[in-house]
Amino acid sequence: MKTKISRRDFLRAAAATAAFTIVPRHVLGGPGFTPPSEQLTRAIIGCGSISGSHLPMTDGRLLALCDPDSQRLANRMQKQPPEVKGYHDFREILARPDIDIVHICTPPHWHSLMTVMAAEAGKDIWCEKPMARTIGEIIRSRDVVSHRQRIFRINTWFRFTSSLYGFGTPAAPLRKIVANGLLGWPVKAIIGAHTGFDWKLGGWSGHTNLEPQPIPPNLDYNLWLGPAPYKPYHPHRVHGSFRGYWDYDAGGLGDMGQHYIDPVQFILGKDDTSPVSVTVDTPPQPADAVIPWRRVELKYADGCAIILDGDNREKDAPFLEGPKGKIWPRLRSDIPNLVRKVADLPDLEPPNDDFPQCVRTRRPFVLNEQNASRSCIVVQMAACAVRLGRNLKFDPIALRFVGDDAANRLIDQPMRAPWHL
Amino acid sequence: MKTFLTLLLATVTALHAQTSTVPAPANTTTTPSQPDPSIQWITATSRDIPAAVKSLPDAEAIRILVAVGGAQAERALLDALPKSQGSNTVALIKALGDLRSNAVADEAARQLDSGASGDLKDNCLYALSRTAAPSATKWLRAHADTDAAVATAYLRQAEHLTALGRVRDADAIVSELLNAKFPAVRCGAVRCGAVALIPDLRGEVGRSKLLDMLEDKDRSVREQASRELSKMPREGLLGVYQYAKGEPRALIFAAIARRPDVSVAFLIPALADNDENIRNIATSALRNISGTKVDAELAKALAKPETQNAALELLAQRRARAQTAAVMALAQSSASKEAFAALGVLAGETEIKQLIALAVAATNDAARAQITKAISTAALRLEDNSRCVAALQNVPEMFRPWAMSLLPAFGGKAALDAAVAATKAGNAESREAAMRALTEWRDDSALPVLVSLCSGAENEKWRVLAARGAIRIVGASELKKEEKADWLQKIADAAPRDAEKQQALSALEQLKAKPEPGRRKKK
Repeated sequence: MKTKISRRDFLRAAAATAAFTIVPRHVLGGPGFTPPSEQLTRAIIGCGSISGSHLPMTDGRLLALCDPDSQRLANRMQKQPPEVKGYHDFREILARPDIDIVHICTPPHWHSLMTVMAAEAGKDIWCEKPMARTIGEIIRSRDVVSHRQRIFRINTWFRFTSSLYGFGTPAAPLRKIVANGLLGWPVKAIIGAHTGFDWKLGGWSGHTNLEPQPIPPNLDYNLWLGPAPYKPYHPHRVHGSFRGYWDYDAGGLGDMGQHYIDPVQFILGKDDTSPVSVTVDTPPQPADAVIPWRRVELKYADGCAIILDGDNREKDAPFLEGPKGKIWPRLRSDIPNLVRKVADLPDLEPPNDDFPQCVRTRRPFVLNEQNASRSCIVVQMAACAVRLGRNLKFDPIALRFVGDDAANRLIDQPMRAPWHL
Repeated sequence: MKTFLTLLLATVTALHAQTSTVPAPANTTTTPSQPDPSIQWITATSRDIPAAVKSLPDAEAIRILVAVGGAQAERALLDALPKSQGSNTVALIKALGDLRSNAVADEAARQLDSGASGDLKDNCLYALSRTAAPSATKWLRAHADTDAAVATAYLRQAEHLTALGRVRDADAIVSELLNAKFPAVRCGAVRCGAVALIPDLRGEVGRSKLLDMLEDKDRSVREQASRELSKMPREGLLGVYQYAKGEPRALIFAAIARRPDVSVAFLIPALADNDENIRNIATSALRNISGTKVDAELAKALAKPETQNAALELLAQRRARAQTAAVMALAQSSASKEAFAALGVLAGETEIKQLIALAVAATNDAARAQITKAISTAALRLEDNSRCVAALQNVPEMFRPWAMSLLPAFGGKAALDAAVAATKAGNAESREAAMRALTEWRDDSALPVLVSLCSGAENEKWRVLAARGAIRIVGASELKKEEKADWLQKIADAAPRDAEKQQALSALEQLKAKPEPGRRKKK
């Protein structure tokens, strides 16, 4: 019987038998050299500005770039080696068997669809944040990635890198402090400008007076919209300002929400649950455009809370507050000798934060489809409440809103044909 | 013409959308503004179905019907299907797929048999994958062996049937997908998906199939099988693990280690396993199990040479303070480098005093260096270090230079006072060691002493050392810019030689030239 072996298994075996072939050093490998046959291969879907940060992954050969805007694709293709091929339609990339990893750098209304399609095509995935635009899409992405055993990472890093955004220290010591009860329980986290986190709400607002404009010839607008409802073209709806429209994202909440909330979920130890209620203070949101909100409060069943301070009213607030103490940026605290106390707390598991290595060993990345789905659900809970302009209750097991049909429809938003999950 | 009308409706809809807000449900007190057609799907009810039906196959009408759902919406979409063409047919079949309609199965299969391709084929497969209709299963089974897209749809149908509780039907699909007769299933993702369904479909009986899958050609499938095995009863897995070899053994071990009921007694011997993967999995699992019982078991593992170092590392990472005595006993009996490293993390006041005594008694410099490192690391964590500082002050004369060198690691008032006193007492070597300790102080509390020593120390060498140390401390401190400037000026004024004066003034110039960075506020 003919058996199938994967490309990577084949390459591993081939590399082992090729030792005596006379080939150039850079092809053969060895210390300081990784032969092309052992390099991971990559494609980047979406050639907007964020894709620039995905280009430099050192351990991996870029083979393809894709964008429905020919001008942006051409700009990104400049300075690429000849082996990099440009594509208009991402489905052609997913059909290539020689690509291991896809980077999804599109607007969020594409994230889940592309994640699911890439996972079913056997690709590993490095997806921009937020993980998806609706709670239903998050769940679908999580399940398909998990059940197809793909390696997935979301492009945020504050739970495992050296600094927690503007807070001035890493998240790990905060996790140790909370986990060991130094603040007591429950703990409240306040995320706002005064604790080091800028929501960028004004910058990501949409417009409500858009006059339809001609679609530029370089843009396949229908493909750019993809699963989103058809709306007449206006340049403010697309590149660089799309976050201001509910059809594609959720303003500053969509842009920064997973960056800020994911480390808080980690710090509070909430990677396996979600809040049970969301309370909002926002002006009525237009149907189409996102405008700045003032405040969102998410509460967990055990009393822990996350406050999203949109109008910077929390002037002297700590970032973390519990019954036994408070912590301000740079680990300033009312707990005496906090730094010495932290040194005495158990170490955390070293994070599995080398994505190419995770792909090679099939070990989950530190921020994977499971924990990223939980932090993105918090973001989208907040977005639903802001969009509807009312407080909501949430079932963290069923992952549905309680007693609010309209909110639950925002969980499962029908996609525009021919796209489906 | 139809496309134009659709576009026109969409344009009007979108323009309308830009001025209205999301309507609240009927039971809220908020008064909605004019409902917006483009978001009507959020609040529509079955009462809105007749109006939506009149607009079919308009995209917004379809969206409303899908959002409302139910038999009436499904019937309306089915009725529109025969009259539709092209992209409208795709949209209607897709919508019926969204609704998990069984009634669309025959039409989707007919379209596929007629050679549907592209979006139509994709959406027909989507519709088939979301029905429980036997005809859909039959069609997918008949074509899954040659077409990867059909194989994926077939898997999706198995997932759908599993969610519906149709275990036998779903299990039949899983069996076929895991059967190598399907050449289209070359993508491991489909087999992974099938493997992931086994625990739900077969329960404990599925264990043997999962064990088979540990030897699949595709590593992803092997890992998926290991992950699913962790949902199986532990006892059965332990039995299989005993006889497994190679990678399957490591994968079964990982499955057991992943379980919340994994026992410490199972994990600890694995710290000495020949397979590095198993050692790593055991270490990771032991690090993450909470409770003092684990610490006690790890302390017992110190007695066995093959598990000793791993246990030491874990005890340190877990900050197992209750086991510090056991680690100290090992350090005293074996002078193990790893034991002293663990004591650096675990030692409190009692153990630090023991370490000081141990260092004094050490017969070689290498051993004393290990102990010194442990004391320095542990000293940082003491809140009241006065008794340890006293112990350092009381070491025999020949060890006083060594003891003085440790004072900066302790820091605080007691250590500073001890260092200052030592600059004036004992032999020259001890006095110089105390002087050097002051220059290596880790906070700005030593600055007043050092500045006075710039001019008042007993010889020029010490005065130079004092000035250089003070400049370093100012540079590393978190003092305000103006406080730093004050100190640098004082150092320049007191420095014994032009070189140090120049160094202080140069630092002062640099300080004035750069803006003040974000500074930690003192509480």
